[in-house]
Amino acid sequence: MANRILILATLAFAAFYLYLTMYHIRVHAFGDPVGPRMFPLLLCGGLVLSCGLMAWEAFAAGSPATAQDPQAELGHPFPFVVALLAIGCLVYVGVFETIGFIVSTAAFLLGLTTYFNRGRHIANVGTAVLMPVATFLLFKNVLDVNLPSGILPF
Amino acid sequence: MTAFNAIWNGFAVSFQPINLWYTFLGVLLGTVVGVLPGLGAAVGIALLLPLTYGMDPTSAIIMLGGLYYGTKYGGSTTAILIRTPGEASSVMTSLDGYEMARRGRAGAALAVAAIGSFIAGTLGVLALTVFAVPLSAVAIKFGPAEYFCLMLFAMTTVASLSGKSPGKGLLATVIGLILGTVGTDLQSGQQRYTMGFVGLQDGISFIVVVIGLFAMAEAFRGMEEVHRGTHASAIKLSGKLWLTHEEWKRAIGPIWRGGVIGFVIGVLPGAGGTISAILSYSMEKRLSRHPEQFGKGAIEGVAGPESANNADTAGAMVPMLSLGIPGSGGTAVLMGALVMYGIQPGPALFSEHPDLAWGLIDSMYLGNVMLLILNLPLIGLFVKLLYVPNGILYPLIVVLSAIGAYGISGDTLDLYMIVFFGALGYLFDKLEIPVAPLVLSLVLGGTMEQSFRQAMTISGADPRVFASSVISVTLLALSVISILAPLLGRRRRAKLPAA
Repeated sequence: MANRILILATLAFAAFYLYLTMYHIRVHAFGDPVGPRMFPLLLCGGLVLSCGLMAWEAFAAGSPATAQDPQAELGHPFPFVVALLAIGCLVYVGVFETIGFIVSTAAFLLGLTTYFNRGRHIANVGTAVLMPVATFLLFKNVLDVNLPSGILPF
Repeated sequence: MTAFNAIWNGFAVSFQPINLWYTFLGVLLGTVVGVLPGLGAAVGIALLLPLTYGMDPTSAIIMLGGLYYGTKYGGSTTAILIRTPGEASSVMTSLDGYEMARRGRAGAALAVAAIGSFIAGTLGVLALTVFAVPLSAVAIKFGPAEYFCLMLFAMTTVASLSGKSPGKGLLATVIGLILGTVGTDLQSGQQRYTMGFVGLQDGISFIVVVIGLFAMAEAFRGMEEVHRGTHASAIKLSGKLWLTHEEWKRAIGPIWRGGVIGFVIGVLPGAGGTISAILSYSMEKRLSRHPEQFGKGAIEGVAGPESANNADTAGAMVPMLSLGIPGSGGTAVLMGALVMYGIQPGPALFSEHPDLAWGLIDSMYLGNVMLLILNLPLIGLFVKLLYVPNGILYPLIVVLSAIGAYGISGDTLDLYMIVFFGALGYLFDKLEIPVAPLVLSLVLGGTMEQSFRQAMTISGADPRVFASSVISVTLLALSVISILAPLLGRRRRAKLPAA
């Protein structure tokens, strides 16, 4: 099932990429004879070819019931934890510059370690505070890489 | 400049105090990255690269090169102590290495991994010294059409050898090439697929893609395992880090054989350390008088694969330096670093940048010595990294990834992209789509398109230019074979009656 969805998604992506290539890239009379569209068009063909190969592999493996389908028999539920992690990361990068590296990273680390390293509060708080402060000082003073200060006054 | 003079000058460059320091720093960081499960050379190089912008390119590449082969040493530690390869090429080491650790022979397993890596790694660098320049002399005969076909062959080989499905490998390869088309077209100056984002006009940084696909995806996987309670804990290291006389006798043959296998396989684009380790393990099992011991703590099962995956790093450098074609994911990122410094690997590298090329190669001799010292008496320090709770380790990886991405250009778009590619890498893992072909094609894609358009320009848009020389026809035929052979083999096996 997952493989079939992958093939359909790839075909849909190929169609979208083809649309962008044909309608958003202009070909001029001057320049090289191939132009900026030819290589992307070949890649569209590559996407279709990969779908054909995947379909052939599924056919060669036998019936859908016996074909190897990733996660088919594992019965894993939807990875809510990973989805929430991704959302949390988006929030973290969203406020990274606004409130600054130290504050955003401390809050992010404290939240994650509190959940994933439960019960070890001293280690979690220590990591959440020391790591961003030490990293900020290291990068600013030693490596000369500026990380955003945000709401902090330095 | 004669070859001897070039090599001697290379040693002079690598022995400069600043370069000795960077060699040490690189191998130290490489060992640390290798010990941390799941990260690997590509991530380590990608995270470190933004910090090297102000450095001398030769020193920077020496450090990054040290990190690259240093991860191979570190990867065996997690394979032996928690049965989780720190680097993909240590997967075979985890079979017998972990069993040795369970029987109280962790010290011997770590010792044979380190010593085998040193011997085979040094052999590999010797072979690199011998073969790199002659191969680049052959590559000078390549024109744009031949280069396009060579890159096509490299990509199809990587696609078919990575993972279980050539179709999915090809998909990953094409996606990498598609990502490479984002940005400003060099010939026409047009914006392609930038969606109005100014930050995409220079294209998608391969560092961002590598950090996302490897580091962020690994962090997502690791935290999912912690949530499910399925993560592994490390065996405590005890006992001496040395081998008995009997273990030495059994290990020395696999070390030499592994070194040869690793170097030869490493030269092939896309084969990578994992395949050389698997081949070495299979060979040692066939040659052994006690094959039933494999999988239960046979020292040959550690010595051979670990030697192979270290010799493989030197082998992978041969096509990268001589042809400009990376032999593995790690060398793909290393090559990307060279391009960022304005240095194009390939046939002209040894004549235009001899100090960098030979400085890098000769620093690998020193780096292997440093790694032996780090990994024998000081292995206890690195092992302590494994005792960091995963609930702290993986969030730290996310933060380090954000720092690495932000350090590229200070653009928050890169931060959003590492989260996107992290989710994509996690999805790829669940769908069993290999990531290495995507990285390779992303690094090579721009050059591949330029070679394609140059060849078509020279021929007046006649596609027969790609069949106009023996070299290009041979490479095209090999490309087709590399994709079809695994498929036909699988179909034949499916038709065989069940045993």
